[in-house]
Amino acid sequence: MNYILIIITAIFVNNIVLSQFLGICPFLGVSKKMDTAAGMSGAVAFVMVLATLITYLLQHFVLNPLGLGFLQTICFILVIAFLVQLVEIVLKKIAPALYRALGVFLPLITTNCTILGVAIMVIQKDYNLLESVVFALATAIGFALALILFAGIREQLELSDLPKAMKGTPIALITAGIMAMAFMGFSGIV
Amino acid sequence: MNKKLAIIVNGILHENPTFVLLLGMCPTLGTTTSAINGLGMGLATAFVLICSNLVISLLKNLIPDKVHIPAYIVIIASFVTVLQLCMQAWLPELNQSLGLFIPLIVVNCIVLGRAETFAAKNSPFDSVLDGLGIGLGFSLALTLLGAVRELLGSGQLFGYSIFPETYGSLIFILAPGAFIALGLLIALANTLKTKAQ
Amino acid sequence: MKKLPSTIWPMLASLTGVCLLAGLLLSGTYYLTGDAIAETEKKQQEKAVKAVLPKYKKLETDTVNGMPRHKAFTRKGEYVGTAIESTVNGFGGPFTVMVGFNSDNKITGYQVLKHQETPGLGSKMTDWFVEDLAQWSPEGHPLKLKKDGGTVNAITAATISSRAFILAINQAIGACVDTRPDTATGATAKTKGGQHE
Repeated sequence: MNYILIIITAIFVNNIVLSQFLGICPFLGVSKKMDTAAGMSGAVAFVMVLATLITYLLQHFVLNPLGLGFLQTICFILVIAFLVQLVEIVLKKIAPALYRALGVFLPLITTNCTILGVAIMVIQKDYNLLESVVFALATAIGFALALILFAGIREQLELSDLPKAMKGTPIALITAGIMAMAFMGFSGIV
Repeated sequence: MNKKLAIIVNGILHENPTFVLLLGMCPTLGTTTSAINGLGMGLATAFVLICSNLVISLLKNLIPDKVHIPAYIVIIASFVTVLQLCMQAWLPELNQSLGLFIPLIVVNCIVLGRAETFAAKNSPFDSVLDGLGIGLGFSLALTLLGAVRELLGSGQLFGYSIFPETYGSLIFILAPGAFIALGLLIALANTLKTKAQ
Repeated sequence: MKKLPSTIWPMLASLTGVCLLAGLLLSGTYYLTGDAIAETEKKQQEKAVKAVLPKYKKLETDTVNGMPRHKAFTRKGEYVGTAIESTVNGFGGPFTVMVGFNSDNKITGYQVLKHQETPGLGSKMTDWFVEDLAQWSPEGHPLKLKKDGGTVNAITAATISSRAFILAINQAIGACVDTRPDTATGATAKTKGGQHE
């Protein structure tokens, strides 16, 4: 029951993008096309689960016993940077097409605040290891859901006739706002 | 002298991180529930930006190209941790209301972005000025967005009541209002830019 | 000075140097802010205890059911009241409420210490429940929202936060005064006896 609650909350109620405001850069940046959005979601999900697992162990078996909790930020970001490099190298070898499509955004996963944000959040919420991993996965699904839905809407937006000042980011933000309103409707279910 | 001033103005106007470069959107949306929170977040980011710009431009020749990203991240993360500790010690209330977004300054694209595009190529003094300009531009933008949301949402400005709360529209303090208010402000900035040209 | 080349030794040396520098900076800051952080935390806690209890001179702190408990006495050692820090899971994450009880086991006040509830909705709990709690007496049943068949008005549109808040208060009540001795553990009953002596 607890896990179901964590999953539903992380995907819908406290959606990482639409209610926590994390990962807005990739949300606006790679949402112009459906396939790049899907690729980005996959990469984020992979890195997020792996990073949360490793940072959780790091916090509880290295930092806490040594009383070095204040080094959390710096240690976590290094772990994440290392993982992203790894994913980049692997992707370059295995799926060059996807690698080309994601281009500049892969290194940007390092500066994607969802990853570091989730890693810190599971420590703050005092989850156990399994809960942390479940939470990371659910958050990644929530991110993917928001990103892919948004990409679908934006493909349509391209075709609509807008005032010049509203083109691009402004209308994307307003659309995101309306999506956030829709997601607020989920807050009644827990 | 004018050239130095131009670097600061550039950060505030021509390369305003929020309205022109469209960077650092997460804290922009996440912390601007009130003008004072926006200002606090802006200044916190400015502190990290100035320090990291200075150190990176001092060390730029000692850091080989291939390892510049990890080196920069370590430098930035150190200053963020310094900021975190100082805020815990002396500004507990602000630290509490900004919460997660303080450690997340590490991954704010503005900080790493300025390190790469400016501090790695310019003199230490110019880099500090650039950090100051961009930091101020970011603070101004966040304060403005925070003020708009606070005023429309709760009828207050910096905590002072302007009109009764019941006339406010709560949606502007909640998540959707953040997106919509920022979208409209950027559209406004675009209009002003077109007019100025 | 020329930029260091991207070969193995310069890269290793430069990264080690940067990390050493970061380590020095951080341990220095940690050393300098350590006392200030502890003091700020203590001060904040004291401020909250003062706000929820009648005037007192001495404070004794221990834990009951995992919650920090502060018992207050006058200079002469007369019992004044108890403040309990009760933590629950709210809508936006865990939050902590400091609840004060006087020597008649009436609620004298509360302070929300840490919370991440939605601004403008759940965050209203900081002063929403003052009147309802002032009317509460040990003879009353555990607190419940009107929605759940009780007497307390929930915050409009923030039922989850309200329920969590009531749970926090009930936890504190359970730890400080026991309203129904038949369901209580021996420990809480003893607590009550101790206070009336």
